Amino acid sequence: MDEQELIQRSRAGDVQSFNRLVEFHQSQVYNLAFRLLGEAEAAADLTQDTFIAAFQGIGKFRGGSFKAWLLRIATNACYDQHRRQKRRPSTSLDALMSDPENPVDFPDHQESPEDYALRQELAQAIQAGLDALPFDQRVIVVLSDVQGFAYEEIAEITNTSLGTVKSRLSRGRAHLREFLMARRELLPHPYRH
Amino acid sequence: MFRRSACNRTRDLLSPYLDGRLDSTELQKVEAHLQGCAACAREMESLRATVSLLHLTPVVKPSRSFAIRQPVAAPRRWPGVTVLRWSTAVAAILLMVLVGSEVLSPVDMRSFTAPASAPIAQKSSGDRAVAPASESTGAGSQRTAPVPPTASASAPTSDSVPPREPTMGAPLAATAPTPGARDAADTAAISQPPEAGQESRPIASSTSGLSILRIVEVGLGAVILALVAASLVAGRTMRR
Repeated sequence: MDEQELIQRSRAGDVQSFNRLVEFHQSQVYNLAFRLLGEAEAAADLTQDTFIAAFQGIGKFRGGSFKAWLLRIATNACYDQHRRQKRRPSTSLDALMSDPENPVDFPDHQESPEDYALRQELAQAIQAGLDALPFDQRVIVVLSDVQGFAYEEIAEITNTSLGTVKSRLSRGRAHLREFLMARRELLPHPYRH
Repeated sequence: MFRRSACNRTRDLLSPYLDGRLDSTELQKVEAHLQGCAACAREMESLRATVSLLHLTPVVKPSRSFAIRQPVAAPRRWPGVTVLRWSTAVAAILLMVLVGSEVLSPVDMRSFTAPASAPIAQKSSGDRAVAPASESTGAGSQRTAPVPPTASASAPTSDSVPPREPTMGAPLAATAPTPGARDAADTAAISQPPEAGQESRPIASSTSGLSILRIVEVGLGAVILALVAASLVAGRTMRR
């Protein structure tokens, strides 16, 4: 069954068909939320809320990229969550480091422990850099360089112009570069240059 | 100064240059500048390394499935909202029925006022005196119809004049006019307001009934407004 058929059935209230769409898109939505919010629990809650909102509002989906529509719901929810998080005390870099007893990312069974540790250290350094960006630049950088969307797709997801996407991406990348260069000790050895 | 301006312009274009999003003119300028400016070339490589690092960001596996369950997916409704809505509907219907009945059966206040010595009172007394011997002439009889006294004992059936209680007026024999004259007087008494000097006797129960009706209508209107406001607040609270 293709995506269009699943969407049609979901419009008719077929939860099982919608859950097949969930299964296909949940990893991307979750990873977007995780990279934008920096917290696994908040990302999980937001991802669940995104899919519930998408099912309840699927009648409003006018066609085009379902993925972009879904990610727009998630991105808007992340903006709201970020505003709420700003009222709380800011988390230190130490707090951003994952707990080795309860890692966010589990090792691949083909991956050596050293490679896993290296990957974890890199992920933490990148997340620290992303968390230091202004939120609107963070959204564009994650969509472009972490999730691999093209400028046009990013403009559709964020409901902005191509020019805005280009300028926020340019500034976001520059800020991240300066952050990582100033904190090389956060990067694993192979990446300190 | 010129070199700094060219560097600034080039640095602004490094990000789209990296993504292959420059037009041919801009592309030529940037590449030409990078070949001649070591600082900008280093910055370009640093930017490329940063973006490459971002590409290495690991994909995190979600800790659980986010499939939705039917009860969760269905819009939640606070049962109180349904009660509020039904209450509002019932109150609104009641109000419409009251107002509608009032509109369809208008009550003229003046028709309830009558002079103390009105022939109507005597007529009623007279009717009562001969009632046992008389029969009703039927529903269609009118006050103004010239009928014998006995026949006029039947209750008035005009739509505009509701039946009246017989009053304890003066004895018939003392003041009874002729049948035709009496009926004409009846009509005059009914249609004209009490003359000056004449004592008018409005029926207190009808007037107070109207006031109660008005109060009930206003009260129902207020209740409806309150229920609508409560429904809106409850609906907004739920959406949060």
